[in-house]
Amino acid sequence: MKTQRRGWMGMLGYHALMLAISAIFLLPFYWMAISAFKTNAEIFSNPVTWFPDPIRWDNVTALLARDDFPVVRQFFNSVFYAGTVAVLVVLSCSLAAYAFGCLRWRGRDLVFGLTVCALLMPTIVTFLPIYIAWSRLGLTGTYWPLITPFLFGDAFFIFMLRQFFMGVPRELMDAARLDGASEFRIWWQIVLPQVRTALVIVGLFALVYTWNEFFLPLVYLREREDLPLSVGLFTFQSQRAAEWAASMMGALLTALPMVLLFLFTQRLFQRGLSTTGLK
Amino acid sequence: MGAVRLSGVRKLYGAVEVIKGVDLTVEAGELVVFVGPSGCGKSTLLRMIAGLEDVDYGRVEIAGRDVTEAPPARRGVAMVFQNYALYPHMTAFDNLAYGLRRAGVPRDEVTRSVRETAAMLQITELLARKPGAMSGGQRQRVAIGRAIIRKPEVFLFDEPLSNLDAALRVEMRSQIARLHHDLQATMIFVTHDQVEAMTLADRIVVLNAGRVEQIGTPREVYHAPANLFVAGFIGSPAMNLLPATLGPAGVTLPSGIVLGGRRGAGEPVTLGLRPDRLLLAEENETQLTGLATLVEHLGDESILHLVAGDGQKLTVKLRGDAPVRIGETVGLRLDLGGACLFGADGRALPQG
Amino acid sequence: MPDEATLTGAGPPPRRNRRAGRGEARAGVLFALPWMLGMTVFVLIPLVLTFYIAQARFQITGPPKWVGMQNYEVLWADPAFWRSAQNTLLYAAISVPLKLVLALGLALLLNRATALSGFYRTVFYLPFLMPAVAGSVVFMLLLTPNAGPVNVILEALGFSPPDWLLDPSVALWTLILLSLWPLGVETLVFLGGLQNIPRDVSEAADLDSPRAWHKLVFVTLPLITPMILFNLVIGIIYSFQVFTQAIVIGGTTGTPAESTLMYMVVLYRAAFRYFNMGLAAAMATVLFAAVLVLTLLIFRTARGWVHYEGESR
Repeated sequence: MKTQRRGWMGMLGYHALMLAISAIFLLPFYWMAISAFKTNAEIFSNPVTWFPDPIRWDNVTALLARDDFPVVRQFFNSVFYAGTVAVLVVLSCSLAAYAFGCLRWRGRDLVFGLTVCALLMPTIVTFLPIYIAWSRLGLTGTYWPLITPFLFGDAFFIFMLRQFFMGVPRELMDAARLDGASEFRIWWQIVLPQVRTALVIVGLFALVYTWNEFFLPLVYLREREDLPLSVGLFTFQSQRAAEWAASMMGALLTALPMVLLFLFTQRLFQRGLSTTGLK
Repeated sequence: MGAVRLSGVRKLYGAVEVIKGVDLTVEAGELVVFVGPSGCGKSTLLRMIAGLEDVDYGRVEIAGRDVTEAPPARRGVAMVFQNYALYPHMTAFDNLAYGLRRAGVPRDEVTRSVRETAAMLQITELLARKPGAMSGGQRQRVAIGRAIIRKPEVFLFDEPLSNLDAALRVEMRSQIARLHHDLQATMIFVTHDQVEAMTLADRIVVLNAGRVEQIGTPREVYHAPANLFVAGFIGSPAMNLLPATLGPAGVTLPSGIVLGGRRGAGEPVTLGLRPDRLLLAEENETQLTGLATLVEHLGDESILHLVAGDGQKLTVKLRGDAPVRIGETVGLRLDLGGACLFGADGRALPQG
Repeated sequence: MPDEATLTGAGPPPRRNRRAGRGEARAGVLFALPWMLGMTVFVLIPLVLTFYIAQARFQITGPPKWVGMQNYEVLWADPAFWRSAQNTLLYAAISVPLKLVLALGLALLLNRATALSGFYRTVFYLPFLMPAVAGSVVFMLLLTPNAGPVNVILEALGFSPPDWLLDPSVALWTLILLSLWPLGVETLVFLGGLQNIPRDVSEAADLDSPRAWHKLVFVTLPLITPMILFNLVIGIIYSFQVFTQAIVIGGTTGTPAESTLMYMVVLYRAAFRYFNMGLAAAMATVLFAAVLVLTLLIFRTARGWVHYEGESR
């Protein structure tokens, strides 16, 4: 009886603590959301308003009407950029991950070792010559430099996918070899169906990473109409520092798609994470 | 059905030689079991026959054809894997049909073959199911079906029973024996379980560290092990191996007690005796004594573990009701009827 | 009885068979080919070129001019280089361990099944999905003096909050605080490690000692050292490259008073404001060397404190 009560009290304390921590983690989201629906004056009013009253719904239309922050255009830029990269990553990385995770060939461990090194290497160390090359080709200001590399694969996502490919039993491939399937057919008909979920997971991660990518589009793109939302928000915020309500609406618009996507697919995300950390 | 002939087969991983030259013929229609401790190379050897591993040196012939460098599907072999290796995303029907389709067999013939095979193995009602919705035994049957349907020269089994529970394992074992009888097919079966080896095999190949230690019928391997390794590996509980010498009056124990039998000029030998050849001694016939450290009661028999004075461990198989307790000193008599003798090089001395 | 004697004996060495039996080796190379090409073009060659550019005067347009070590000499004399390096090191040295400890604490708290576990996990993971730009902008607003909710709460609790964004002695700490918010990845990696601890090991520890901290120190922590290593290496590499948060909060000059001036910001400035590719490349090589040395050092010491379970795959 007594221990039961203590367990019950402990549970209450635990949840009180966890909810308090959760509140701290959620505060920025909440503040972003409510500030997006306030006027600038209300944002800086003292005492603080914890709930906008009235909710300034017209902030939405006001933002859409601005020509110094073409959010709709930039939203679709982000969709195009992140979507294309996600598709390319799934295609190209599943080839290499299969070679690393399922096949035995001479030089595999060396190439994979280099891949891990590439994964740990700071981007900037290889970036400048690549930038100069694109610039010489006259392709800065377009999405080519942002997308083309993913045609060939990406060290991080290859690493992640390989973990899943390694889980496919070798016997399955051997059985297919005995059944007379070609190596390409084994990849396509036997192995890929086993890692379908993994492909979706990696696609989702690529989508999120690319949606949030900042440095590359900042450097490669120039025109406001070409920017993805992440850089568009930065440009707007640094040029119109006083317009907080609009900035917050922009931030909300930038963050919301990924948050929603995550809420609908979080089980997959968490499975993806557990594979990157181990090993 | 074809024979399998290996000559001088070797396999290296880098500088490490895992198969150190194997010569072996499996006759047409024979069921041969590869047995050995884990890491002995038995699975590797099987996979080399299947074409799943390169044969670095030597030749592999199947049904009189040199297939050393042929891809797996062109060797006329079919394999049943340890974990079944059924394609999880395909129905049993598609699992059976996959190999035939790859071989370009016409559609209606594929369907006919699948139906026939399924009927034979009584898995017709499973054809629309995927492996995930089947029990272990059902999966096993589908896996066998996938092997049968291709009408191979040779069937290869890679420890296919090791993941089944004990009861099912016995049932599947008898099913494979029946299959072998019905199809009169050449079969090679890999296992680490010597009961499986003894019950299934026409002949047993005992492997150790990449070498063949002995090839023979289950009786030969059990009663006349070719060397100390086979003697220690085959049989459970294991054979007792006692140091002895060949004296002028016959086999002599270190204690000086003469057991008789083969004579010699004092050469050191190892005397091998199955646990059922050690008997509880009557008063004056004690040839060996030991302290009972453990008695395992198995019902109709008991296994008695002893330590002799010189630290030698002994195992004795007794009747179930044998009156021995832990801590007792037990006197033993040795029955040389089924004894084996091994020379200093570990090889069996010719019997008789 | 056939045996091996015939083979191991003398005689001409047997012919080694061709490896035609297995298409797997060829397939492996073919499947990896696009990536090997990509890695060569987008990683290996640029890496070499960076070291070359670092020894040249190069303005993107026009040919590079070989100047030897001059760029490094310029760097050596550049106060912004030293200031940013110092800021970045301090940032990494505080942010990474703090984040590891917090993430581990959260993971330990999360490592029990309750009705709300899924909710907590989601909440802790959400900040990671927030684009860094948006997160930084929101933080600026949260930390506004007078009207920001953080200060309002702190004042209500009796603290006198600092001027987060304008006080040069505090601004770097604000960046560190911002870096602690998205710790969901680290937390879930740790949680994965905790949940991988076999139940019998955990129960054995409970039986061995009734004190919870005994289990934490002697059982739990040693078993998740691989995850600690992983988070530590990744954390250091990424915090050395901190850019987005720094440029949103401090601009390209590291306001206030260069206190938030980060290494990557100075590098970015050199390359894309002043178009001094040579100098930027020299900075990149220094970063490369720093990351390389630190990573090697960590892996070197890791042998002493990271525990890998033999049989876990």
